[in-house]
Amino acid sequence: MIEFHIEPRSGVAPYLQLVHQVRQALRLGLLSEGDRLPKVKEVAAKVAINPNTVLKAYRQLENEGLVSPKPGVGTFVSGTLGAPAVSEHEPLRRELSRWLTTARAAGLDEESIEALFRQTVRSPTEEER
Amino acid sequence: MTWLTWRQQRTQFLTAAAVLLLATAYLLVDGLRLRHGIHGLPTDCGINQCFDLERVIGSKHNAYLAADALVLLAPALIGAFWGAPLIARELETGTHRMVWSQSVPRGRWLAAKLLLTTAAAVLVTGLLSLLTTWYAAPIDRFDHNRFQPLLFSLRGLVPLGYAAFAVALGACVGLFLRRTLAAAAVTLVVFAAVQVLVPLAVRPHLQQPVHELAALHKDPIRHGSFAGFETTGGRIGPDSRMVAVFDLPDGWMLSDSTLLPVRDATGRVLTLASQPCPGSDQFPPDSACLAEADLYVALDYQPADRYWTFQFAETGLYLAAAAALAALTSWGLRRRLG
Amino acid sequence: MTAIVETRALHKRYGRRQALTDCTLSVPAGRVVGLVGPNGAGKSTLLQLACGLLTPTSGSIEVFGAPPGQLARVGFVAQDTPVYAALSVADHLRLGARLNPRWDAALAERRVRQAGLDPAQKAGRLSGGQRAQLALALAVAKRPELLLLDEPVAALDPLARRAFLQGLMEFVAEAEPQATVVLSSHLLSDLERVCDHLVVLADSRVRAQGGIDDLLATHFRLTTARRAADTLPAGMRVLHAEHTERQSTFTVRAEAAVEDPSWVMEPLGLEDLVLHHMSTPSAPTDLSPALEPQR
Repeated sequence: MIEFHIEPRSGVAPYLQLVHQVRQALRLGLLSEGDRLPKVKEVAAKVAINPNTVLKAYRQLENEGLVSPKPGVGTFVSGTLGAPAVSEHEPLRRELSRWLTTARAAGLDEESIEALFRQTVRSPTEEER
Repeated sequence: MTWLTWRQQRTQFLTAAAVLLLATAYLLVDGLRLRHGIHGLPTDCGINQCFDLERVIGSKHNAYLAADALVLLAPALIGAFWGAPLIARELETGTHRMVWSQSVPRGRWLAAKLLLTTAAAVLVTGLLSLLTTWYAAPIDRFDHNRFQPLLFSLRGLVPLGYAAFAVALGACVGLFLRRTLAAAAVTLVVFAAVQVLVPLAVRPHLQQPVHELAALHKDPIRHGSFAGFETTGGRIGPDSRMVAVFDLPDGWMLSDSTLLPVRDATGRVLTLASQPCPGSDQFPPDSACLAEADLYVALDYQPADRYWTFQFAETGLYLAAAAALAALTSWGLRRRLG
Repeated sequence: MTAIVETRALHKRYGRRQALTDCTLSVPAGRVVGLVGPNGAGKSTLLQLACGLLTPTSGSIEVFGAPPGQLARVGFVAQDTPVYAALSVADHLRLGARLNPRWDAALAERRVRQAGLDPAQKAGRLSGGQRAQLALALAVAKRPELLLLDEPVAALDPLARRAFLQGLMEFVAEAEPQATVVLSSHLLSDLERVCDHLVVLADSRVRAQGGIDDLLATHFRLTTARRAADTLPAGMRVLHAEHTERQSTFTVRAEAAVEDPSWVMEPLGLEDLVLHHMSTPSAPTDLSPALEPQR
């Protein structure tokens, strides 16, 4: 079963931290379909975190189709992130590398490239909106 | 609330019970011994005549004083050690915020605490008073002074009233001072002041005193006798007033001095020059003549048969004061902390 | 959403000192509300008004739609968690059982056991953390619908603090009926964990209130080349602006971050956000116009 933790001062809302941790666990294979997530009460008491926050995180995961609640039993993992196989990483890396070359040619240094990347990742894409 | 009050005051209550138990044991045994000792001795032989009786009573003097001291101090100590911490300690330690956020309203909390503590105080003082009154009864009967201010406060009902008043006073002072130690000290001082002031200024007026021109040497019970002449500048002159002592068994003489000016039937104060029985050399007067002369003293006094009226009245007065203080405390609790 | 605590133009004065000024706020049902502000900001006063230990100088405060005083429905853990030093832990539980009609003895005992308290121990001998746990057990076992806590963790070490908050959150998760909690603290990291709603007090006034997620999602720090505040896009409300010769730093409120190559727009952490509202004397802002219902 997954264990949650909260990093205060991260600037990320606690419920989003929980969502990220579930996603991460799915990606790392720590959670797979059919696994039960810890009960809201257990998480609240263990992590010392507001149960509403846990509920909100679980609902967000539910909206993303990653988990589904079974009333009276618990919340179960019902989907996968559909993460691409490692073999599909290579073409993406090549594409990124081409983009990096363009960026350097435009005069961006390492740090501004990283800042731009982080900023873009963090901001919602057109589809997400 | 009953349980909590008991639990909080358990130590004080048990201490009082222990003292009471010891006092009871000692005074019971000693009281029986006293009664055994005076059994069959004549008691109506007059002042300074009953030598055997006085010897027995004299041997009990220390126990008698100790018992009186106990009754005298009990209400004061109860006020300081039970009454003052009642609210002050809660405010001092902040526990009032804990106990007032339970489901019991503040008013009921106060009522329970005050009533239970007062009941315990009245019980303890009542038993103590009963015990001492019983123990000292033979002595008091002989001394005929139970209406005297100090002794009046130590017998019968009044100590109950004092105890109730002391608890309410302590609680009230505690509420406004919010410090246990300060509240206890102030309670002691105020209570002592009240205990001095009431016999001086209040008790004499509970009922209109009797004013009377009483005959000297003629009354077998209320015995009065010529005492001498007042001196002016250490010397006796023609204007020196004639004075007498007057004994009022079990009554309460309100005059300031024990020496009363002697008067004639019209109420005129007699002097060395105007007294009716000039001796051979003007001084001293002829004692046989004096015994026959129409001499009077003016008396202000509370007669002996008013004793229980006064006991009830003063107890009622203190209980009323206690109730008023409790009301003030209740009001203060709502207002001052609001 | 029903408000559990609702105040309107609430004032409280102690002698000449104004402890609470024109306080208008509402505490939504089922929330864990953090009351944050510097010492002397009026947090304690507000909580004591809500549980009826104090009465307002003017204005109104309603709890469950009525003036405060429904003692059985409100639990209160006072500052420094006072307990009777001479009474044992078990005595305190008996006290709770005798003074509260809805007392849950099993819950109280379980909490005391979980906190590792010895029932025979005199409360005066407990450590600060243990005392706080005892006070929490007392407040929780009366099964309040509104639980008010006045700086319960201020004096505790980090370990005891965490244990206390765990106990508190367990109560919130299993409370039946659903409970609303108001918790004052100046430890923001704790509040961020356990609260989902925030009220910022400073200088006896309410400076901001709203859901924490909303606050975090809508506050940003925008760093850019020097420019005037009114040249920013319309959707941004500038709360604070600071300029150097070349650079401008804005604290803005916006629905979402706006990407623009000419600036960096980062989410504002809760601490910066609260500090900003504490230090800016402005009209009280209600930051939660449209809170979606939770639970």
